[in-house]
Amino acid sequence: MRSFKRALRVTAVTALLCALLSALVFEGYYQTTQYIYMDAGIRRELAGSVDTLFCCSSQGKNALVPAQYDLFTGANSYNLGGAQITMEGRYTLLKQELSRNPVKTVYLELSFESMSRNRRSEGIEGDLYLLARLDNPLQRMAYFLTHFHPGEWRQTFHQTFRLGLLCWQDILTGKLLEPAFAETKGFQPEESVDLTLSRQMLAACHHAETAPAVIRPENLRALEKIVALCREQDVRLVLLTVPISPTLIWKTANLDEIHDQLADFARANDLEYYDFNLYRNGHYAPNLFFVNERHMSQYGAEPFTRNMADLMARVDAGEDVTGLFYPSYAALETDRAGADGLLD
Amino acid sequence: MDILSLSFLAFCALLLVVYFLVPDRRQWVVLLVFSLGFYLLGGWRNGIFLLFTALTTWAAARWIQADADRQQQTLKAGKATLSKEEKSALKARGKARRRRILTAYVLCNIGLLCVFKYVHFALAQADALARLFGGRVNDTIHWIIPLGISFYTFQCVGYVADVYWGRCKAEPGFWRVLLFTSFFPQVTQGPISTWQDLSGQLFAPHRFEYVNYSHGGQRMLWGLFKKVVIADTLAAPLVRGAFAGYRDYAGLSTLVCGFLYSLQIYADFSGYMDIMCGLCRMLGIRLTENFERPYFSKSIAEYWRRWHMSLGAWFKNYVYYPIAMAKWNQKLGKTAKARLGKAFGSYLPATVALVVTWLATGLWHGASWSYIAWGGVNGLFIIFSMWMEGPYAKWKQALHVNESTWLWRAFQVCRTFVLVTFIKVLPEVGTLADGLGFWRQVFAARFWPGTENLVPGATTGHLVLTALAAVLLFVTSLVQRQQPLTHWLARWPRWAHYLAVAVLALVTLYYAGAAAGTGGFLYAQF
Repeated sequence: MRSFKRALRVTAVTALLCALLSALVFEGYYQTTQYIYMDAGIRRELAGSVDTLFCCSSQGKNALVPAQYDLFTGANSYNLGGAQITMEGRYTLLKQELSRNPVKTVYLELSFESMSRNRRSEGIEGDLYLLARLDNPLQRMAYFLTHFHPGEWRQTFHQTFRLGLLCWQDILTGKLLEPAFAETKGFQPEESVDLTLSRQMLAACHHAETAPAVIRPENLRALEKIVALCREQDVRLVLLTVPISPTLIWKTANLDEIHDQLADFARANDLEYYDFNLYRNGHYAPNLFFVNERHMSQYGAEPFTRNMADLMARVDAGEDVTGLFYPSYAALETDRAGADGLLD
Repeated sequence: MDILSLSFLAFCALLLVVYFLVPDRRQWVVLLVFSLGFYLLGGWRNGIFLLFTALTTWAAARWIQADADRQQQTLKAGKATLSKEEKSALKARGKARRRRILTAYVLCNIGLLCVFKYVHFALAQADALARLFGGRVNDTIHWIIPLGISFYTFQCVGYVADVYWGRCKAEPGFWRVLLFTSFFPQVTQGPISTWQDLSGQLFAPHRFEYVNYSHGGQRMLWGLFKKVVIADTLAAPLVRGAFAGYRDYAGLSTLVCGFLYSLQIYADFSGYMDIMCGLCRMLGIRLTENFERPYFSKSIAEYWRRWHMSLGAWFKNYVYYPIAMAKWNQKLGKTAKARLGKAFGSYLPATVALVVTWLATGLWHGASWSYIAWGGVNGLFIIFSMWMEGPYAKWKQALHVNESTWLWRAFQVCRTFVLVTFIKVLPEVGTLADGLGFWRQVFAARFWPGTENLVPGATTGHLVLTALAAVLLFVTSLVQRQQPLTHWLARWPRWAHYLAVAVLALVTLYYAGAAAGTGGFLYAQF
C-alpha cells in the first residue's frame, strides 16, 4: 500500500511539474498579442462600454467596420469575428461580452457555409484561435475540455506549445507587438484583389459549383443557444449575410436553397434577416471590393457597413425595406444579367 | 491500436489498475483479456489465425508430451522385463512418432506464415518464369497479413520444439497457451520469447512495487522519446527524402543519410522495445531483452548477438544448431576433412548452417530478393570472418596490433557500424539495384554538398537537433554500459530527476502532436 501511495505521489508531482512547465510556455503565448486574432486585452479594456456586437465568421470580420457603423449610428460597436470560428465559438465569445457590456444589438453574420461547416473535418484551427481570445486559463481549460476531441489533444498541445516557444523567443529578444485590432475594434482591413473573370470563364463556370446545404445539428444547436441567450438578455438579434463576390454568386447553383433555409430559421424564431447579396443598392464589383471570393476588402467593407447602417436606420424608423432586396438569387441574376450583361 | 496514442496510454493505465486489483492467481487472466482485446482491435479476422496457431500449438505440445510420458511409463514399467534392444526400439519408435507430430505442426504453421507472407513473392517469381515461355501468372490475391504472424508463429514453433526436445513440459491449459501466443506487448514486434522465459513471468503472481512502477514508467517514456522524437521526427524525413531522391544527392549527403537510417531504425525498434519492456516492468514482468547496445559491437557476428537478440537466439536454437549438428552435416564435415583438409572440414558444417540460417533470416524480414540478398550479405560477412580467423590472428601478430587499446576497439566498433549500415540500407531503398545505387552515389563525382545544406531540404536547425539526438543516444549507450539509465537517473538530485523526466515527457508530447496520425513502427512490417 505504501508503495502504491508513493507511486501515486510521484506520478502526481511529475504530472504537476509537466503542467506547470507547459503553462509557463503556453502563457508566453496567451499573455502576448503576437498574433492578430489575440484581442482579449482590447475587449477587456472596452468592457462596460460596448452596446453593439458583430458576431461573425471571418467573412463578417472582413466586412463589418465598427468605426463606420459607430460614425453613422453613434453606437459603440465591436466586431467579434474570427477566422475558422465555429458557431459554438461565436456563442462562447458572445456570452462573455454580453456578460460585461450593456449590449442592445447583436448582428449575427451568417455566411452560406456557416451552418454546414464541419468542425471535425476542418480541424482545430478555429478553436485554437478562440482559446487565445479567452480571458483566463480557467476559461481556456473549460473550452478546451468541452470543444476538443481527445484525438485532437496531442495536436493542440503541439500547436500551442510551438506558439508559446515562438512568443517566448520574441519576448526574450524584445520583439513584442502591439495588439492588431485596437484601433479597428475587431475589424480586419485587407487590400483588394481583382477577381474579375473573363467572359469565356464566366460562361464556362455558371452554376458550376454547389455550396453544401446540409445544416449540421451542432451548428443549429449553437445558433439556437445564441438566439436564446439574446432573448434572455433582452438583446435585439439581427441575422445578416454579408456580400460575397458576384463571381461566386455566378458560380454557385444553390444559393437560393441556402438563403431559404436561413430565412426560414429567422421566420421561425421571429428574427430579422437581411441578405446583403440581394440588396438592390449594394452592387460590389469583383475587381475592387474583395480580397477573395468570400471576403471583402477594406474598400468593400466601408461602403457596405455604411449601407448596412443606413438600412438598419430605415428599419428602426419603421420603413418597410422588403422592396430594397431582390426576392431571390434567381431574380438578382436575371436583373443583373439583363442590365449589365455578364456581371460587369 | 496505435502505440503512440492517448488510447494506448489509457489502455495501459486501465490494465495496471485491473491487474493489481484482481487476486494474484487471476492476474494472467487479466493479461489474456487485455491481450485479446488489443489484438482484436486490429481486426477480428486476425484473431482467427492467432487462435488457430494457439490451438495447434497447445494440441501439438500436449500430444508430444503425452506420447513422451506414455513412453516413459512403458519404459519404467518394463524396466525389468524389456531387453536393451527392445527399449531402444521403443524409444526410436516414440521419437519418430513425435517427430511426425512436430513436422506436421511446423508445416502447418510455418506453411500458414509462408502462404500469407510469401504468396505475392512466389507468384511474382512464377510470373517472371512464365513470361520466359510466353505465359503469365496473375496475382489477384488481396490478403492482409495477420498482425504479428511472423513473431507469434516463431514463438509457438519454438515452444513446441522445446517440448519435443524435452527442454520444457507442455502446458495443459489452453488459455495459458493462448496468452503465451497473444501477449500484447510482444505479439506485433517481439521479442520472440521462449516458454521457459515467459511462462514463469506471465503466470507468477506479481505485487505492485514502486521500483517497478517507477523504472518501468521511465523506460516507457524513454522509448516513446526515441520513437517519436528521434526516429519519426528527426531521422525519418531526412532518410525518406534520401531514399527517394539519392540520385540528386552529393556523396557526403548520401553517406550521412545512410548513417541516419541506422539511427532511425535503432531508435524506432529499440524505442518500441523500451515502451513494451517498461510497461511489462510496471506489471512486474521482465520481458526478454532485444538490444544490448548493438552499435558498440566489434564484429557483425557480435552485432547480431546484440541486435534483435531474441530473433537471433531463435534462429540459433531452432535453425542453426539443428542443421549444424545434423548427422548428414557432420558427415559432410568429416568427408571434407578427409579430402580437403582439417580446417575446411571443421568449418564446413557451420558454414552450411550459416548459409541456411541467414537466407532464412533474410526471407523472414521480407519477401523480396533484396531481403534475401540482405540475409546473404550478412551471412557472407560472418562466414568470411569465421574462415579468416586464423589469418587475421597471424596478421595482427605480425603487425603488433594491441587488441586491448581503446583505439583498436574504437576502430572495430566503427568498422562494424559502417558495415552494418551498408547492409541495413540495401533492402530499404527499393529494389536491390536501388540499394546498391544508393551506396554507389557516395562515390559519385560530387562528394561535397556545395552551397546547399548537408542534407537537401533539411534546415540547419533540424540537422543540429538530429546531431544532438545522435549524441544523446551515444551518451546514454555509454551510461548503459555501466548501469540501466533508470539507476543512473535515480542518483541525480531529486529535483533534477523530476525535471529531466518532465522535460522528456513534454518534448515527447510536443513532437507526438506534430506527428499525429503518422508513422508506424518499422519492424511491424516484418
